Amino acid sequence: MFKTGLFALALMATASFTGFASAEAKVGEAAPAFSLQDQDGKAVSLDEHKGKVVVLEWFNEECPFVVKHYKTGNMNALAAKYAEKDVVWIAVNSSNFTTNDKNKAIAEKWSIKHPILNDANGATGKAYDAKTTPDMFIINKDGKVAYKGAIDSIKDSDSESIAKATNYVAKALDEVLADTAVSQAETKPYGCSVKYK
Amino acid sequence: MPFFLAMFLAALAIPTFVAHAQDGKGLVKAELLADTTAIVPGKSFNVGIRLTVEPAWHVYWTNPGDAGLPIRVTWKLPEGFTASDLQFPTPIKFVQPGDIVGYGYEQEVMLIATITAPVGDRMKSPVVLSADVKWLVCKDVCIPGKATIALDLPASGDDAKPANQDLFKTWTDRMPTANVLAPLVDLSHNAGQIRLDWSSDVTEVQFFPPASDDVTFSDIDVKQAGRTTTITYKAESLDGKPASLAGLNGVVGYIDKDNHRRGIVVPGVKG
Repeated sequence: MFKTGLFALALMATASFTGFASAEAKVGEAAPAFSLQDQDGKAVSLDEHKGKVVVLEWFNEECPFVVKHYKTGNMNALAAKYAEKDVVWIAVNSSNFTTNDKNKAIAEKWSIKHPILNDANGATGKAYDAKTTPDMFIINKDGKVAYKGAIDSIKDSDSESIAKATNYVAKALDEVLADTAVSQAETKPYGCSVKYK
Repeated sequence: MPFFLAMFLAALAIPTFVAHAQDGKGLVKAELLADTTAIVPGKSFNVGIRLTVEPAWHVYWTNPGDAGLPIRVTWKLPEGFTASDLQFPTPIKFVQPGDIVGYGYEQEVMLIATITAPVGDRMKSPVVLSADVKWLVCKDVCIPGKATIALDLPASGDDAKPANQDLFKTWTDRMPTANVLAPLVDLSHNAGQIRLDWSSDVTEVQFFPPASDDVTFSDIDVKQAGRTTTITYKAESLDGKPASLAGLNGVVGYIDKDNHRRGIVVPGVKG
């Protein structure tokens, strides 16, 4: 029974992996669907936010580039600012070592109000072709990818860089919310590698 | 009592901070070295920024690959001194889970620049050369580190002698060369294809694409047939259109018959 279960799991893993392999998130195309658990064990799917602008933020609490945006309060401030404009902010943790409990602990420690989804098997990260943390995606009201890439223009883990940088995500969000074309829909992400299993 | 309380709290906090407790400075040792014992006015000499990296950890080349950050250097030189562009040795490639490709160095690397001293006989001795160095060192986690490194050299009329010769030879030989020198016989680069012909057997031939904020390289494939290597790749702008590589120089790395890692500069061509 145990063996059969494992086999079935392996099959499922293979199926979902090959299923996603060609579904890389491209600007202007439909964003890959997902349903993952947040830090409280509650399922969060892209589908349930249909009709809203969604930001996906690839997350790993051990990555200095992620730490930079949280310890300065920058990421929470951005999420809060755009929450007022009905934008859904979701962090996705594709680190092989992530658990709901770890995400809950870090959400409390860093006062994170938005969900941190557990993608320990990496399927959603690979579906989006997320390679770094923090890799950022904006999904428009039609469910299409409107922006993918870096959070801002200065590739550095120093906190001082935030104030000097152009925040690409804020800029693209303003354009998406104003229904104007996104002037820079894709940039090269920077950060730590996503710690896939 | 407050001291013990603080110790107790610190001990409690340790598990949460394990990843951050190791700082990038302990994992990487940085030194500044020169290939001369003294500075002669008006003359040039080489300096090396040598990083010694904890085993199993790595630091990054000018193009770090899918993630990571290159080693960054800011010179702090006395007035009148100038530094050339920094040379980075031919890197190695590492592939992490999820097919995340990185380019960089393990164990040890030395970046080299040529410094030119100003003309004139009133140079203050010793001359203090200094640099701020920043790096990101990664294994399962990434940790940023930085150091200010300095070197004192006497200013001298004529008694400068060579120094650190073996070290400079090792790393100078590993700098990508822009000339067609043995064992390379011929190099051609057309859009998306690089062909190299060799006069002796080489192994581990790899293409290291240049750093660029606008161009993405993918589908890099290296085929070895006898003493000919054919490398194909796709270079696209972020909008998915074919990219021009004018001014973007890549590097082909290889191991020569004497088991030394070497590199060749591959000038970018218009797409």
